[in-house]
Amino acid sequence: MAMAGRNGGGGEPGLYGFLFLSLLAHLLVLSLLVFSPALLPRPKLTFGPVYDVQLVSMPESSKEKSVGAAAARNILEGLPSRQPILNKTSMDNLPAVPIHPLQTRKTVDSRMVDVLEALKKNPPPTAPKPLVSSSALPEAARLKAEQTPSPAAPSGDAEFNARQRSYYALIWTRIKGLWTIPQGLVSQKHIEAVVNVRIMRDGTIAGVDLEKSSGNRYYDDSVLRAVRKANPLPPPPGDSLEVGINFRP
Amino acid sequence: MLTVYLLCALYASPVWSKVYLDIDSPTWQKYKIAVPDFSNSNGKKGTAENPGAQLAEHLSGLFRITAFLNVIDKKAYLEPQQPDAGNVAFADWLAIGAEYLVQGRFQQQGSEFILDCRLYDVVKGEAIIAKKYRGKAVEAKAMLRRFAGEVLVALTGEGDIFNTRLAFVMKKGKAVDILSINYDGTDFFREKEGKNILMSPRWSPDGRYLSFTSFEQGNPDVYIKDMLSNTFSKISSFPGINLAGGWSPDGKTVLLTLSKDGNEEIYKLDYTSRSLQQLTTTYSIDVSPTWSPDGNKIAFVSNRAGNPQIYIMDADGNNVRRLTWEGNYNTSPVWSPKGDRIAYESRVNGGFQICTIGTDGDGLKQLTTDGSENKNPTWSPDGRYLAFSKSSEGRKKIYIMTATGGNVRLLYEGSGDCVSPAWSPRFKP
Repeated sequence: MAMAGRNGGGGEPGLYGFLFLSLLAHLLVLSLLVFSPALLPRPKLTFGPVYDVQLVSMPESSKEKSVGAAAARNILEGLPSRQPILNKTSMDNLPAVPIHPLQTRKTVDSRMVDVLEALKKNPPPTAPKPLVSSSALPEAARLKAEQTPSPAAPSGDAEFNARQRSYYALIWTRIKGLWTIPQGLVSQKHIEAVVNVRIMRDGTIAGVDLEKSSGNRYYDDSVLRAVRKANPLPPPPGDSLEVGINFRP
Repeated sequence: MLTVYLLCALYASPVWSKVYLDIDSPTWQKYKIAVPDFSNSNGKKGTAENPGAQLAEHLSGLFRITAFLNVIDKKAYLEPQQPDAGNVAFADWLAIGAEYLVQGRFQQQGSEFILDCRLYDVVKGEAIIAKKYRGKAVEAKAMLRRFAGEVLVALTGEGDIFNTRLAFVMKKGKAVDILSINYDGTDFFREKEGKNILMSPRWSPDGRYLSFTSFEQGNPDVYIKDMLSNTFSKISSFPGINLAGGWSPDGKTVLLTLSKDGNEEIYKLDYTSRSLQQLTTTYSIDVSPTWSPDGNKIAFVSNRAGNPQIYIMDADGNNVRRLTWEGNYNTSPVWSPKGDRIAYESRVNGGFQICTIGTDGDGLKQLTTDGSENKNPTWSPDGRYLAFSKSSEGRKKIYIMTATGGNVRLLYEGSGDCVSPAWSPRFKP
């Protein structure tokens, strides 16, 4: 027994050696399993002309119309009105409604009291606020490279994505406008060249490479020329940007 | 080692996808090229005639007759003409929209005239071609033609046809001449003059010979002009009609239409041995043969179906198949040097139009659409252009257009009717 143990620990790869090899093999298989999805072709998100659509609601004004009817309905039904009643004057200026609770009609009184209390609890919105939200909305709807932050727009990550999308739209329009090629140099209809453009933080194009050639030297030249002519671009949102472009005639 | 492995695992590429934009519909327009005046290396400022401007103007003219280059007007140039070699202010040329730039310098050193031409890619900011030509001052235009050919090849892959000529027949009253002219419209020459009918000139593949049919001895016979020695010889004078057809690509065989055996048939004549081989044997009229560029097939016109149509057969006369099925009068076939298409004239609504069709019978395209007579097409040696005869203002003139029917321009108009153009091969400059 002892001899076998000694032999096992001797010159040839013994027990520990095989353990180590086994561990390596396991790690190899594990890594293949975990990281193989990274090797699969990355899904390409293609962008055509980008239209930024924002569903914008105008809470104050839409409720404005219905408030009177809703409040009336609520009073009749006996439910306290939750919706604030728009009033351009502050509550302090309103003449106090003289309410005398009549003993014979207690339920009605309590409803009136509830309404008053609800009114006191929800301060009416001040006048300037609706103006602010309505002016911010047309700005948000325009595709500009620099977007002014608007109170109605979503904040943080979504806003950055929106800025990115409008930047893509801008460079799309710019490079498409500069892409020219003489007739007679390209005979096939189904031809495609893919380029990779690296844009620096200040908008200068750091480099443009041909990711996939179309097979036609003059077509490839024309797409590279289109990107070079577009230099310098406006600065991208955030840091430097790398974007791919598929050119199809 | 395990730690190294784990570190590598941590650094594995993140699975994020790069955004790709799709751009389509480029603007189809010619390359924009700027050609400022050539500068004189001797330093002498231009004399009254300003040869630098003349050279630039001639080169611009050569560029304009191609269908690929658009020369920007001199008035738009920002850079003062001319800086010295080395630093080109590419930004100035980019600002006016130039994609390419030609700069030239010339100087006269004793009896030698030296021309230094460069082609720049303005967008990339680098030189593409730099050539120096030496010779005599009278050869300046030939040097420019050579450089223009190099520019075309660099920018479009082919197109060096500035050293080609076109031969054609001009009829005025009783006088009929065979004339030839450079592709750029210069160097007009009378190859043959006569008082009788002259027809269908054809160039040999090396450009040394010009074959044509002449009635000068009472019978339509086929003659050959040796362009080098300026001599004429008769190669076919059988009884009946002898019409000159195309030359084989190896220059050894000439196709003829002869009617000696009853009706018009196509024959092959070996130029050196003078042996004759009959290719068609039907009872119909078979005329106007033309070789394919690989020498394996011949296209010709036959009325065996009742009206003139174009057929293709093997070079030995076998495997005849009909090519054209549209229209009831299709003649004058010419095989493109690219091998894939045949141009011909077709009667459409009473007028004649130039059409091209694929050699497999598909892809029929009508290239001319106006109501006049467009006849006798001939291909340029690179297969990019077609020259043809067109009637305009009561006279027939020679026009050139691209193989897709664009960029139609007048090459020559004379005092008579110009018909039957034939485009020469490329001559050594």
